[in-house]
Amino acid sequence: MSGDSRFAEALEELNRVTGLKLSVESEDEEAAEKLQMLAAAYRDRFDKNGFIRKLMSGGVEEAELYSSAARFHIADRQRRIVYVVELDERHGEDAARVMKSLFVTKTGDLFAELGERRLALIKTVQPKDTADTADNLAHTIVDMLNTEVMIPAHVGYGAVSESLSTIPQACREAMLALEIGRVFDLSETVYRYDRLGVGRLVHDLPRESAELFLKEVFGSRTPKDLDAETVEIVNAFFDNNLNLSETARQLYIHRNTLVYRLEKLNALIGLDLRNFDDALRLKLAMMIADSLKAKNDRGI
Amino acid sequence: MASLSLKHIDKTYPNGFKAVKDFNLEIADKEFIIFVGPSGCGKSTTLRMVAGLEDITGGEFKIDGKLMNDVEPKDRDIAMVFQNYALYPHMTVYDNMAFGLKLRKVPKDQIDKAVREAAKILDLDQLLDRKPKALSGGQRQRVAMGRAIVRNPKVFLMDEPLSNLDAKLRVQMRTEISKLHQRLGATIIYVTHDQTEAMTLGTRIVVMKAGEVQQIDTPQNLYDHPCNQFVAGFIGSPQMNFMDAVISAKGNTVTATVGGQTLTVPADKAAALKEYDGKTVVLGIRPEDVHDEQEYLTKFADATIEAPIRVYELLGAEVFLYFDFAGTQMTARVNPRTPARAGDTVKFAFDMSKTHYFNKETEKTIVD
Repeated sequence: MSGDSRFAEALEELNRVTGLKLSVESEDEEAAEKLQMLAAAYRDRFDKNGFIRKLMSGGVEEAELYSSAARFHIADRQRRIVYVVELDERHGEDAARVMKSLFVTKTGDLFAELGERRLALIKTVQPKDTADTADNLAHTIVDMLNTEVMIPAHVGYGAVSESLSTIPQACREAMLALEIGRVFDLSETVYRYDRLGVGRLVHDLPRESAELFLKEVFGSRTPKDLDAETVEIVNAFFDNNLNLSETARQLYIHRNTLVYRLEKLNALIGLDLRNFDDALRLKLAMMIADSLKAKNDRGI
Repeated sequence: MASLSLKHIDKTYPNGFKAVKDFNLEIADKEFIIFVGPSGCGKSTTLRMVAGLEDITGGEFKIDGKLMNDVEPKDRDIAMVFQNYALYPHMTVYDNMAFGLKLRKVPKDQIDKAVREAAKILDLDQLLDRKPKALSGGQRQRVAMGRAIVRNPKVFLMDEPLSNLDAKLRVQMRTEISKLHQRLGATIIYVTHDQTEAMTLGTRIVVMKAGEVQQIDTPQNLYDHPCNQFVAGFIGSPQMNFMDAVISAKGNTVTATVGGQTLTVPADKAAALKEYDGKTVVLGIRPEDVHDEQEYLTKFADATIEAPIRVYELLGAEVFLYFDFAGTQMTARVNPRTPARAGDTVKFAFDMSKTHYFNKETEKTIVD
């Protein structure tokens, strides 16, 4: 980048952040650097949205936390829930406008944009609120973004945070809830951190252990070696609690045909799904495969 | 004009789970279509595919002949009313209804016209300056509807819009939605798990289970001629009574033995049951076709049973009597003047002309 263009960009950024129209005599590299530092300092000092973003990522030092909170009139000790909203497309400004207009309604409610596809709502918890209140709010966020902005949305949230210092942890929980929920509960749109169940166990498995388990179950094969029809049968069998008759009825096949297919699968991977332990092994293996794929897709 | 076509619509998630399988439906302009079924049956997923909020894995979806599979929700000319709604607390009713149009940069004069027209339809025209906290529950619900109406869409999509309301308000709003459908002349797709809502609102009902369509029909036909045991049990409240019956066919006479009692099957149903001679089928009978009055005991003398009443429920215009028979818990809907009470042993007559018979393995209707 040339010195001139860097200076111009730095000045534009400072003008935008401060809302002031500034002109500077010297237009060299040093001036550009100082303008950038001024813009950063201004943001730190006066940009509430920036502070909340930094807080949620755990990037605020303790000493700075309380002084900044005081400056932005944000109470420290207040019960809050962090909702992280993930949008399936770039949200533009509309989703943010809708969220702020609808849900930032009480003193202490906070809102931040975390990126192109993520928004965060930090909502104060009232004494009369229950677990259902939080869940209803999460679903309302999804439904309102669907109907007003007409975009798909998913929401993750975690436990109640008692003070500002625990907001980063609450944010991590909300994001994890989203990350894990979107792998294992594909038909859902709201994910609660303390209801992730086996999904969280699978997600937290070290990669080495996960890959070893897959090798144990599938041997030289991989889950991709199961054809679509087999996967459908396996999923239906699990959904029907390993009940042969119900599964056969749901799949419109004869019970004997289902038994034959399960025996064929047993011959392939050595697991008889009519046996609970074997069914559990395959269920876990399929979840681990999905989890590893999701991590690979994200470059983790 | 807003006709919709869903052909072989599938929804399969990346992990192989099939949420919707081979869904086929043609919706004519102005129809009020209901998707009904238990939780997890795929009804909301199907609606969301129509809305564009979920990708369609397979099949074709068209509105007025135009393929919509890859069209963004905002470009499908639809409007949605979902279960969990919120009104902008600091905005007036007018602004609440206008907000979505403002986001889409619709000109002010068009917004004003749309809002005032919608407000008139919804009887909100005197409330446009009020804030949400000054509205009743029913008024708030109507504002939520108004947000959809102002978009003047080809199709309204509603997903359990009344589920969060109390019982009284739900009944009231059901009537409002029905009136709205007639006033707007709009095509509506409505999702509910409540079979009463389905039966009272829809011109046609799509009953779903485990991702598959079970039956598509008018409310009356679904009630009178369910195609399988699931539909028979899902539609109608209280639920249809089901009991195992062993069929015996001797010449032209077919009987069904239930709990040791032999009941004669009417001639119009007997023919279809002859091939089930010696086999067990499922006999279904609706509570209103189980009678305790003398005239029925006389009329259906060869189809009477006796059982002690476990529970007596008076609803005002009718009484429900709960009893056990043939290892099944059964319900009879009888006249409120019945002398029967809990603990009494009562004779019941089955109106055999109203019985349904289902294949025990496939659960499909044999005859009804």
